[in-house]
Amino acid sequence: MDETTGAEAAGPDVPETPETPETRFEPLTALDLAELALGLAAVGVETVGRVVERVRPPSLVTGVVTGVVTAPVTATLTELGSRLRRADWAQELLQRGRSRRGELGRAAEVTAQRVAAVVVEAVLDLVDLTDIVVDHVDLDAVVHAVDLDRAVARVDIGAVIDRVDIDAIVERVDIDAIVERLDIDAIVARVDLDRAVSRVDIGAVIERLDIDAIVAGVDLDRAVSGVDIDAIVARVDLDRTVSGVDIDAIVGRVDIDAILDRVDVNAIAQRLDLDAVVARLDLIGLAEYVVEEIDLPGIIQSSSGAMASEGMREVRWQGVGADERVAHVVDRMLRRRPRTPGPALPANEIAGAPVLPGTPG
Amino acid sequence: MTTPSRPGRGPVSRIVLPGPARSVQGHRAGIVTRVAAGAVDLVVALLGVALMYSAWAGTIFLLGPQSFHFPDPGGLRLLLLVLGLLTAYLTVAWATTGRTFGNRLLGLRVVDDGGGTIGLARAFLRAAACVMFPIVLFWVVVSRENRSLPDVLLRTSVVYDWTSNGGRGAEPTATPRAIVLPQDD
Repeated sequence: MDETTGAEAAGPDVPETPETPETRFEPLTALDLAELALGLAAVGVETVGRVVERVRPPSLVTGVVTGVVTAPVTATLTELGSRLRRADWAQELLQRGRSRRGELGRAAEVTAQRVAAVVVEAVLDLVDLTDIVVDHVDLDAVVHAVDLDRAVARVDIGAVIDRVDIDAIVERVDIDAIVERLDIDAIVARVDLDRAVSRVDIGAVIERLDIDAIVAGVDLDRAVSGVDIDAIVARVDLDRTVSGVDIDAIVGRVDIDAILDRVDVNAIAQRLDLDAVVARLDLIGLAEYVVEEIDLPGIIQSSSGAMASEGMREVRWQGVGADERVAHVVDRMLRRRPRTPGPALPANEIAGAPVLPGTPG
Repeated sequence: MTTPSRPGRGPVSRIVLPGPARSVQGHRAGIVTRVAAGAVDLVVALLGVALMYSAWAGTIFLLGPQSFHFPDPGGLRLLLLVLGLLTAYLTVAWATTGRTFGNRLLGLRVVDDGGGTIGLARAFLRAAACVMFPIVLFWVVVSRENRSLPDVLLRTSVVYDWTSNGGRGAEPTATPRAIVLPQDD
């Protein structure tokens, strides 16, 4: 306020300036005088502006006046000031005037911005900017020139999502209408189910399932009644299934003793028709087979030599024992290991493991 | 060489023989049983010679009862007759069934390395050796395989075979067990 007062105080000094430079410096030209006059006029205009601002006229009028008057006046004052600075007597005044001009410039710039904003707003009220853009701007070229990837990379998606009220949006969506418009078949045909299934963690899904609840909700009778069991059984490869079963492992887990304890063998035996079983047996053929296998004639023939005489068997047994004793004594006398006569085989085979007669080699 | 057989180890022996006896069937016999069998065979030969002598004397008696007197063949001739008869007897017995009466009594059988009966030639050579040089039989005492010298030379064996007809039945399926000594009492 003091500076303003100073500037205003400088106003009365201006009439003195034409006198002093004439003595020491070159005389003022008409141009210098004009600049000085304009500077003084600017001061006056500023003073008037302040007065007008206090009165607060319509902002549009103020902006127009300031923008139209101040800018050319400021330029003119700058040129006038540069001429005035040559006068030594006016240097101080010019200094003050220069600083005052800087302030005036800044104030004028602020005022211009305000006026410009008002003017633009007024112009936009008058003009349909959308029509202008649509008519004169090549939007495709603009879009091509925009680096969308870079722009998207700068967007904080998380923050955007946080600001979105998903519930409210969903409530406003008519799901039924959307579903009706969907071509499910076409969508399913385009889905790579194998790939999708391969990405599913079946184990985790199963762990989250409440099997009991699901089973409790299933009407098994109704489900079974709709199944063609015969068709299923006809399609099952039982042989292949059975071949994959480890019967031994299953049998190994069965507690046979516990099962047998529960079985009434006597009751089963009473129900058996043994006569029917025997009637179906070929006893004659079986007897012939047994006789053929055991060489019954040989046994009967042997009975005279091997079975009939208990005394002869005793003699033979005593002979065997006597053979062993003599061999044992002789082996001890010869200080050698007990002999192993073994079966009747070549000498070179007796030294090894016992080999039965009749075997090759 | 006859077809291989399995002396004393067929199904017949499994049925008719006691357990301890089955374990030694087919094993080579020791000196005691073989000497005993030889003694029995010698007795058989002596009985045969005696029978022949009786027949000869009976024939002389029938031809001339008045001038009858027991013939005197002489000791050497008798000995040769005994030895000859014994040799023939052993040869025929070993070549056919593999066992003489003494072998049958003691439960022995003469077999070849394959377990079958020996041929006529080997039977004769073996019988001649055993009759003329009985001492060779005692090599059994020293032999670790219970073989006499004729056994070693002719590749024969004398084995325990308590059955009457070896060489029939199924192939044995188990190795012979150790010989079990009878109780001393």
